[in-house]
Amino acid sequence: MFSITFRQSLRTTGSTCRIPRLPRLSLPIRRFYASGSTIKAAVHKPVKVIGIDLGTTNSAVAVVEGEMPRILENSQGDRTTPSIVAFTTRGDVLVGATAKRQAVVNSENTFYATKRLIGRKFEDDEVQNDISHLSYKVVKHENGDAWLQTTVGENLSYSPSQIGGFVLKEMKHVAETNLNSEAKNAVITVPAYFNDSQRQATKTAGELVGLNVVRIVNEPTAASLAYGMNQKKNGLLAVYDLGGGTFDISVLDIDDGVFEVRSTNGDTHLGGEDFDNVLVKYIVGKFKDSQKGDEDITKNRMAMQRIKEAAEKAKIALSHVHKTRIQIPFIVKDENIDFELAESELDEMTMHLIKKTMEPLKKAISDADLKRSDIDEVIMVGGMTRMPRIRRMVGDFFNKKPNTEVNPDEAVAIGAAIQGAVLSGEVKDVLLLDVTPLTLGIETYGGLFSPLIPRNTTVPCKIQTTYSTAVDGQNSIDVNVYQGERPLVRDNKLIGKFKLTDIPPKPKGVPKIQVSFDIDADGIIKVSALDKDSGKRASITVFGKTGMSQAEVEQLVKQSKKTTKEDQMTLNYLKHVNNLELIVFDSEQAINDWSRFILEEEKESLGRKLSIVKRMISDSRSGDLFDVKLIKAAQVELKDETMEIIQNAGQRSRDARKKVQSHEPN
Amino acid sequence: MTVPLATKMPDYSLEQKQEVERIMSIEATDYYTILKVEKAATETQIKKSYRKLAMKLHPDKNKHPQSSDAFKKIAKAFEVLGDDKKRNFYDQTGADPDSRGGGGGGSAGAGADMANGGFGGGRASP
Repeated sequence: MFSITFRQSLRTTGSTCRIPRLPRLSLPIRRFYASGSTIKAAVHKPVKVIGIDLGTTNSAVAVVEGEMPRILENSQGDRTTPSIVAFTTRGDVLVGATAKRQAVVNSENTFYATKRLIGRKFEDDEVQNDISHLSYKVVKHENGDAWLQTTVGENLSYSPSQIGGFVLKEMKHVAETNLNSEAKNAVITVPAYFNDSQRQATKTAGELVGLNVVRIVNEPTAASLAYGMNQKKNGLLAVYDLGGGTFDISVLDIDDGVFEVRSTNGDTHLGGEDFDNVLVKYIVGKFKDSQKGDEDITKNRMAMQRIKEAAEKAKIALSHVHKTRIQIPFIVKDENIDFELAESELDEMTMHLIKKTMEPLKKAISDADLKRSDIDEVIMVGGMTRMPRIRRMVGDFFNKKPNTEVNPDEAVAIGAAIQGAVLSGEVKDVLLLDVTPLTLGIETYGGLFSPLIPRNTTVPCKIQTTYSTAVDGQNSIDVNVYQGERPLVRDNKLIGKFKLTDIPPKPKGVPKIQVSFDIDADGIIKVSALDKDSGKRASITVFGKTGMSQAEVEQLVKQSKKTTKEDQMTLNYLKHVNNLELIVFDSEQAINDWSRFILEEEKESLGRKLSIVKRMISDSRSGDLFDVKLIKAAQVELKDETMEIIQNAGQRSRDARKKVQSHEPN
Repeated sequence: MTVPLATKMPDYSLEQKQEVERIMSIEATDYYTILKVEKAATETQIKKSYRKLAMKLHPDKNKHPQSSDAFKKIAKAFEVLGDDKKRNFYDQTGADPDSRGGGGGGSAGAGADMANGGFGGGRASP
């Protein structure tokens, strides 16, 4: 009997193929332990497992205390943190709101929505399609995966897992600050429809930052726990989860604390980002229609970033009002974007996306052997479900008004925390019976996919099937394990392979090869093959594994360690420095645009100031200067002087025009 | 310095241990006995019993070394008895409706299941 092991989600214990973790303490924790007197209390506390919702656009962290789950707020007092990571020229890493705020000036090094790329190959259609919308560079890594490239430093590139790792680290930090103790163990959620490599990559993200990922839980399943803990109602529940980047639908049967997933379906590449992209395209088109100049705005990263932000804002606004104004002053030179957008217009332009969720919805219902009318309750999760048109569509589908009691932004993290408490034994009367979202099987002759474990099978589970050889005298077989729903393996995802050799040569069809799939509660998949006749042990070679090699992971851990700096003071300071740089850009742009009307002495004076300020910026970034007051003062001074010069220039230009007009013959 | 979560997790009670041992001693295809229900049990009774057993046996709840295997047995039993068609087939034949090979776990004469196809890719000896 030979077996290989590849894991779908992280095991709690065990010794085989464990990726080494970083026993690294974050700063406040070090301080905490140094204080000595409180250390005793910490030792006696039960094991805490935090729940992290690693979202496409926003992330949240929660914990269960005294059987009550609660969301933990970050240092800004926010209950969710933007899943955005930025690298500055100084080699610092900004995470969350600080990263989001500087996106306009540093769009090439500000990584957002990277969850859409996690565990994906560069050549994937979804990735190729995304590249055109993204302000940062996506590159092909040696192993074919999609990675992200910065323009700072030595143009370091990062895997989407690493970016996820930075966000997870921030969430870990939020938890530790709140709990005043180390948060080592975590349950992390993923879209239910994520395949094995996407799960693997998410788990790696946690490991990179020293988290012990005790379980990967599906997002809609987690949301159902948040709902069920509150309601204590039995019945059939549908969870419609449309987030920033992914869509999931799950159907659960809740009965006396047992949450049994009946079916799940979805689209791992459909979410708020797609809605934003549609709106961005619309805004750009609208601008081009009335554009006076000839600059191609889509080539202007800063302008596109501003449009993206305005699009997201307008989309959110239209969930609450019927009309909103999209206003972006001075998008290029002296041109503005300013028009009104109605909810109905947004509905119409995104209808194809809304409709895309209907097919998985129908499949999930039929996979669960149910009719729409069997569903007792529908809950909506994910920020996009605030869109009234989506609520109406789902309501119409089930002929039932969706339940709005769960918070669409928080339910997933809350549920993850509940599952964490179930695993630590803190919550006793709840059990989650989750399923494998995609069919698992192996390749048979001619590239056919032979399913072994059908989708929506409850885990843990074990299934055995007997196969044979396809050619006379065949003495070895390749066991290629795939995940997916398509009849040909080339359309599914290869998640592992090994070779069974030294089969005694016999006519085709005679040898009996027993293949077993074994998935445990942690989602670890074991595949083994046995030649029943010979019972002989042959050698097995695991040719490859999705994701990264161990050495690669170690390298990444080292790298993240080197580049991370979580001192909030520094981050704050650099935020001011970035603002100052933005003002510098504006001033230079203005001098350029108004050059004809600015006096030489004004140019000289402003130029001198600009060079001093630039020096301050570079000194700040190299760490030679740290003076918030000075930077703030420079911001005001530079802004004021530029403003004055531009006003003077404006006056001169008007005077000049008058002159020209008065000289023109009628 | 890190204590693996499992060592601090709740162990298993005597009742949980006995339940695991009971399940493991039953023939894998004796689905009714496994789920502790009568042959005439209703769908609801079967479901209730499965859920109750799941709460006791699932490895998230029960750290007995064989809890996972025991759970797989009840899950399999429920998959058959919880589905009208499969339950019917089982009631008539006593065999696992999902097994496409020989019946009842018997090994003789079934031969390789060609319905599942053969493996490609392997090279015949030169």
